[in-house]
Parts: sequence; C-alpha cells; structure tokens
Amino acid sequence: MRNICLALVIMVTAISSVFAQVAAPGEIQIKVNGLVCDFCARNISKVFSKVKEVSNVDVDLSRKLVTLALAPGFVLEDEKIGKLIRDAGYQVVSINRGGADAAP
Amino acid sequence: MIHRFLFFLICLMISASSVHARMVSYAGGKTFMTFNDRSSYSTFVHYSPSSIFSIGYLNEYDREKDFWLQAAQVTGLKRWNWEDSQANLYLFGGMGGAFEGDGRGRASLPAALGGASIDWEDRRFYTSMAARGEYAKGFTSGSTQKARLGVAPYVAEYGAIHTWLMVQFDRRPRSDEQYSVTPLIRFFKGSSLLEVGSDLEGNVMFNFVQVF
Repeated sequence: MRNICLALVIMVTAISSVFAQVAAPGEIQIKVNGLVCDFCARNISKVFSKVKEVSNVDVDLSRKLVTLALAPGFVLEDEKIGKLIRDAGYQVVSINRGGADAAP
Repeated sequence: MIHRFLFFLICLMISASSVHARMVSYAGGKTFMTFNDRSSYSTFVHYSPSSIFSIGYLNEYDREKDFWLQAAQVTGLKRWNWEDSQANLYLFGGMGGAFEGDGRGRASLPAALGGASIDWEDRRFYTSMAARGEYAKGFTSGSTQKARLGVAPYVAEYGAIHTWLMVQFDRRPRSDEQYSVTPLIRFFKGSSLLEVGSDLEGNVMFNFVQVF
C-alpha cells in the first residue's frame, strides 16, 4: 500500500512537471498584471512586433502570461522588456527565461 | 478584489460626463473611433506618444441642435493593473470651435470641452462612468453623463471574438429627453471593436474603434 502511494506521488509529480509553466529554450515568459481584455492586450503584440529581437509574441489571458520567442542570435534584457510592457500599458510581475539564460 | 471594485463604484457615483473609452493607446499607437447615437455623430482620431496620454482631434455633430463641434483634445490616463482586473481613469480637455450645421452660418470660437471617465473590468464584468462638460457661446453650455454596466456571456481567449452584453444609461440635461437607456452588444476581435444597440425608443447606437 505504501509503495502504491509512493508510486502515485511520483507519477503525479512527473505529470505536473510536464505541464508546469516553464519557458522553452529561446523563450521568455513574462507574468503581467492587468491582462483581462483581449482588445487592450493587443497593444502588447503591437509593441513587441516592432522589436527586432522578438520573432513571435503570444498572450495568454488565462495564465496572465506573455511569451516571447527571440529571433536567432538576439537577446532581450529585462530592463527593455519592462519598458516595452509599460509602453503597452501594463506592468511586469516576473520574467522567466528558458534555456541557457534561465533565471536562477 | 471586491474592495477595489467598491472603491471604483464609489468614484463612479461622484461625478461623470460622457466620454469615450480607449482614448489612450500604446506608445506610438494611432486610433480611429466613430460614435453614433440619437443625440450625436462623432469621429475621434488620436495618437498616443506614450501609454499615459494622447493627443487627438474630435469632430462631432449635435443632431438635436444642428451644430458641429470640432476640437483638439489632450487625454491623460492613470491605470491600475491588478492580477485579475484593471481600472482606468481618463482626464481630458479640448479646445476648438462650434459651427452651425450647414457650415454657412454662425460660428463660435473658441469652444471648450473637458471631463473624466473611469472604468473597471475583469474578464467577466465591466462598469464605467463618464462625464463631459462643454461650452460654445450661442451653441452649447452644460454637461452630460453616462454610465455602463456589462457582462461577458462567455470568457474568450486571446485571438477569439469577444462578446459583451452591456447597458448604457445617459443623462443629457439639455435634451428634450433627458434620460435614456440603451442595451447594446459589444464585439471585438484583434484591434477592432464594434458596438451595436438601440435605446428604448428605437434610436440606433453604432460605435466602432480601430487601433493601428
């Protein structure tokens, strides 16, 4: 019985880690406050579409996340990310980087 | 979240005038708006040098009094972003002129307008209130107020068509019919927003906003 419970815990942990909100390599996940309106959140796409470092922008209203895919060979500093999010009318809660430059 | 909502409800009750939401866009954004209801038809274009203010031009026709109001307008925005909701306070002022409907008659320079709008929303509920005062000698003097309540029948994800059911309450002290109630439907997808409604007397409301 104890072994079964332990196996279940390990299995649930493994499944959870698969669906955990982690940024893929080359991606930056930004937790943003105020993401409640698609029409207004479009501003985020418009702001980042003008940035050469970014190849794709995805907004998730349910998880309050903005996910940026970086163009090959480019980096995007947190300070610039914060400014661009403010330019769109929002504010950054946290930034999570995937791959070699993931935050500690 | 409830106490924040109540705070803004109280703010809404204090004062208001009729103004348009989305009067400030993202830094570098350009917006076109057109608003049409039983009392007026207007177009408003604005440019937002930053996400906290915009400069724009208003061209408005008053159907009841048959005159045009044209004004340059500056709008400031204070926004509160919370995890699950957002509130906005717009303050604006403008100056221009008023002209008789046929364009060949009286004109009044300068004409001035100003006001405020406040709104709160989450992904399911929306509330707003606005007030506007205006003055053009020989044409108009006074203020109007507007309030809205809205609910989203479904919560849509990013990129989908969003739908809101709303009701707008108007108070126009200088009109023959001072009070009106207009149920309306708001749709938006991408950077386009459309509102269609009709007041209880059958007067159509049609509003459109496009952000570039």
